Amino acid sequence: MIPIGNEVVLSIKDLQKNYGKKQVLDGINLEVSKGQIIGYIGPNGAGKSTTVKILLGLEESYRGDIEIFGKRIQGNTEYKRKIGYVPEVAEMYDNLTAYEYLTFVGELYGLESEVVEQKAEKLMDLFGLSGLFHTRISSFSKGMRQKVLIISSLLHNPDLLFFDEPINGLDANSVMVFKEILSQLAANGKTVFYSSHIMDVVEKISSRIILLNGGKIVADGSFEELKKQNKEGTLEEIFNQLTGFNEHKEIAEQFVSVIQGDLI
Amino acid sequence: MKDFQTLKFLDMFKFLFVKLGIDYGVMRRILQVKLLMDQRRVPTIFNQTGKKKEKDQNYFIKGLWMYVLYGALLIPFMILGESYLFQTSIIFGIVMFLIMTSMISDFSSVLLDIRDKTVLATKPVERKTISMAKTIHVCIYLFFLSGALTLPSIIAGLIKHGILFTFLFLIEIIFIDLLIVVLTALIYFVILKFFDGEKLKDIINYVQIGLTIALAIGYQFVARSFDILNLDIVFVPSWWQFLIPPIWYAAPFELLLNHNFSPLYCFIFASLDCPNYLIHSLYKNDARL
Repeated sequence: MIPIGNEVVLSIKDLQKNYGKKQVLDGINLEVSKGQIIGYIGPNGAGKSTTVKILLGLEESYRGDIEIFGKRIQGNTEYKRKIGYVPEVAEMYDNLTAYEYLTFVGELYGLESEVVEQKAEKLMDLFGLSGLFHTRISSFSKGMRQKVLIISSLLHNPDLLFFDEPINGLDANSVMVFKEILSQLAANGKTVFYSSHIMDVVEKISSRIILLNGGKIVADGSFEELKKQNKEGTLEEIFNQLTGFNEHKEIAEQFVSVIQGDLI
Repeated sequence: MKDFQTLKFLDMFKFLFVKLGIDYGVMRRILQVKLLMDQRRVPTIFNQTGKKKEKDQNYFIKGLWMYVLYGALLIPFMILGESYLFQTSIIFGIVMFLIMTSMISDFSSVLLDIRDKTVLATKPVERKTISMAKTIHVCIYLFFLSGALTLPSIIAGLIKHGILFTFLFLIEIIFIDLLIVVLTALIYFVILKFFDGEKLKDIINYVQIGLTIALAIGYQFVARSFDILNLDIVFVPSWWQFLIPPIWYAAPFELLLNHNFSPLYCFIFASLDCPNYLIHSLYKNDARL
């Protein structure tokens, strides 16, 4: 195993981003070291996906400094060679076959066609997609597409991974495999940036949890640390507490009564 | 994976792209995938029937016959007489309109693929290379489309008016294609500036409806102006004709073949530079295109 040092892989300084007048990110400061699995959580619209998009160079007009692998990312595309990305929405060229799509992605990362082909087919087999290598992605189920996306993000052996709801649609067994893959990758010195709404999974896999609310970081630390600070049992409860949400029962009651016909 | 004749042809110009600082290998790969996907893009009508068919059929190439047929309708204008300005401006007008319509309606999904952002922009590929791949993709379409549309009139022109005329005609078609690319880009640019990507599909539908109506009305106009002009085909240059692009492209015929050196014709000739100017202003404004 490769020893894990304190090498900083990603650093964000005072990141701000506006969509029109609405401020989505309001001064994010973050340093991520090698080998960490970051659970990046927050309510809908907190700015999780926006952060990831900025880090990948998909969004441009922002303020602040971002360094990945020690280099500023603005006007730089080379750093993407060592990055893997699974987008929140499964956007891919789905009228290609898995073989065509994966070799294409691999070649964009600069790999040899034959190498990617072998690697991709092997990974597909291991991930329970054997025999589907030459089938069009458009005929795949949601979970199968997601698996293809996960494979496409790992083909080039990246050092930094961005996963945005990666286990969407995956069955329980595949989720177990995937979680194990993550922890082994982290043990091998890869850094994972994992954003999700499924708290149980985040709680189990993350070595560090970052909670985003209203464009600001409101909590940062390991699950144990968060638990100590907030005196709550599960990450879900900590999440509710930190985002100031405690009326779920009332809302649910009203919701059900409206369904049943009481227009209060 | 399947290799395309078009790409083999493109290979001959590799040095040009390399000189522009473009990663040719990557660009070619993107184009290959794009063309492969286009081949599988089944028109909505065939969606139900051809589900089991895995064999690739190129619906685009098949559809070109329709355009050849349209093009054949232009032959009468071509062989009508010797008043080049009148004839060619009508032909160019129709050609421009048809190409423009199909660029916006049929190929908008091809030319403006939202998935490109997540698939291509997250990879270590220079933006320059992606833009060039997209531009070439558009040009390939344009080449086939305008080729099919003008082929009948080119042949008719060659027989009736000779080689010099045909040569000039070909050059003018290239200029018209340039103008169309720029105008289409401009339309998309304006749409994207005021509406987000989500609304684009709706807007394109409106454009399609608008263009269909314009087509119906436009044909009425052409037919009517024909009647009037049949009595008196003499063309009197006046200022508002600068605003009609087909006439810019028709002017050189009058100038070079009929030796009609009216100063206004020369001025129209100069407007050929228009696309060039538009491209520059567009590229300065927006690097996304």
